[in-house]
Amino acid sequence: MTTIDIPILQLLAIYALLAIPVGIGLLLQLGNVREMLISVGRMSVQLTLIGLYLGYLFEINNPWLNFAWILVMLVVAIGNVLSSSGLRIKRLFVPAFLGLSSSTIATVGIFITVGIRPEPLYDARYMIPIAGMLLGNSTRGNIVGLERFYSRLRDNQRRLLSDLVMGASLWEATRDEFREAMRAALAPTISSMATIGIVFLPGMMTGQILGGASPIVAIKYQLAIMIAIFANVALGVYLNARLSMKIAFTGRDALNPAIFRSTWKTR
Amino acid sequence: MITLDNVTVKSSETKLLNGVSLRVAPGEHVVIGGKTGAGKSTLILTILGFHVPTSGSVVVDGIEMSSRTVRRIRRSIAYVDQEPVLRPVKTIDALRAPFRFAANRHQMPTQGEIETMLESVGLEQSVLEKETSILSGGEKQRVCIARALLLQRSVLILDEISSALDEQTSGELLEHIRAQPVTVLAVSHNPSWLNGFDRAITLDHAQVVSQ
Repeated sequence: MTTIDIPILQLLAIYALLAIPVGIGLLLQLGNVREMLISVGRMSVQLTLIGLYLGYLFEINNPWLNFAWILVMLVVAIGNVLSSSGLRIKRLFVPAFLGLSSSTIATVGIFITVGIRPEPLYDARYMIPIAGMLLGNSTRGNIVGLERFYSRLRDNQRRLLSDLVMGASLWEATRDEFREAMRAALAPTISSMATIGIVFLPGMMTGQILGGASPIVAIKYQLAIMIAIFANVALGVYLNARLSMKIAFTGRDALNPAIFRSTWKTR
Repeated sequence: MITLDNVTVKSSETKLLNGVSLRVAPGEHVVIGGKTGAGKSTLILTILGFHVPTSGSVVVDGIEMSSRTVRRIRRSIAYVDQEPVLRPVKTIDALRAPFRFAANRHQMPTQGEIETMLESVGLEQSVLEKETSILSGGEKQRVCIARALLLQRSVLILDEISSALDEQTSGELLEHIRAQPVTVLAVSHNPSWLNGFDRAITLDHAQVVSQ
C-alpha cells in the first residue's frame, strides 16, 4: 500500500482554500493579508526546495552529508532559540550549541541505535526526519525555558544580589528561577502527552497512517518520539541554561546586560 | 574596615565614580549623603563587588577586591537594600533562608537567638508565623535588618533603608544600628541619620566633596 500522490493541478486546487483566510482578512481589514501571502509563499518555496533536497539526500545516503545536514538544522534552531528568547546569538551561541547538540545527539542516537536500528544506522530516511522532529519540538521548549530563566533573573535582580551577598553560590541564588524555567519548558510536553490521541492525532502518526503503515506501527513510533522529545527538551533546556550561565554572569556573579537583545540597564 | 583608594567606575563613557577615596575604620559608623545620581548606590555596589573599577582599589577587612576574592569579601558583609527583599514565605523561614546556603549552614541560629534578635529590632514575636507579604513596609525592613544581623558579619552596609519608614520607626532603627559593635556604612537622605553617625561623607557628581 502506498500513498496516493497529489497531482500538481489538484494541489493548486487545494490552494483555493486560501481564499477563506484572505477573504476574512480583507473583509475585517485585519491588515495582515500581505503577511499571509508572504508566509504562504515562503512555505511553498521552502518545502519544495527541501523536498527536492531530501530526495537527493536519501538517494546519496552519505553519513557525512547526513551529519552535515543535521548540523545545519542545529545552527538554524539555535539562532531561532536565542533570538526568540530575547538573547544575543553572538554571545550565547557556544553554550547553546553545546547544550542543544548534546541533547539532540543523545536522544536521536538512542532512538536510532536502540529503538529502530535501520540498516545502515545513519540511513537518512530515519535519521533526518527524527532529528528534525526532536529539534523542532525542543526548539519551542528551549525558547520558553531560556526566555523565562533570564527574564526572571532580570526581574529578580535585587533578590539575586541580596542572596549573593548573604553567602549564596551563584547556583543557589539562581535556583528558584532555574526551577521555574524548567517547569515552564516542560509544561507543554507534559500536557500534550496527557491529551494526545484523544484531543488530537499527532502529525507524525497521521503521516505514517496516510503513508500506508499500520496504526499499531504508527503508534509505536509516536510513543517513542514523544518520549524522546520529552527527554530532549529536559536535557536540552537544563544544559542550555546551565552552560549559558558561564557567559551570562561576570566573574563576580553580576548578570551581564550585554547578553540581552534589548537595551537594559543594570542597577 | 573598608578602604577605597582613588576608585573610578565607568559605564560606557560616563564616570559613575570619579577618583573616590575613603576609609571606614573597624567599628566606625559612617553615613553617606548626596543627591540622587551622585554615585551613592554605585559606591555600595562597588564595595559589594558587582561593579568593577576601571582604576583604583577596594579593600575590605584587609582583602583586596578581585574576581578571585570577591566571594570571600562578601562573606564578611551583611547588606540591606532600600527595598526589603523577602521571598513570600513565613517570616521565620525568611530569617532562616540564608542559613540554608552551604556557606552559612554551620551558623543556623536557634529559635531563641531569632526571638532575641526580633525583639532587639522592635518586632513582636507574632510576626514569625506571618507571611512576609502581609507585613508592613517598616516590619519588612526590620525583618531584613534582623536577618542581616543574624549573619554576624563584621561589616554592615545599608542602602537608604529608612526612606520608606516613618520618622519614629526610622529613629528607633537608627538607635539600634548605632548600638551594633560592627563597621557600618549607610547611605541616607534622612537628616537625623546624617547627623546621627560617627561621620558623614557627601558625594556629589561621582566625587567625595566632604568627609
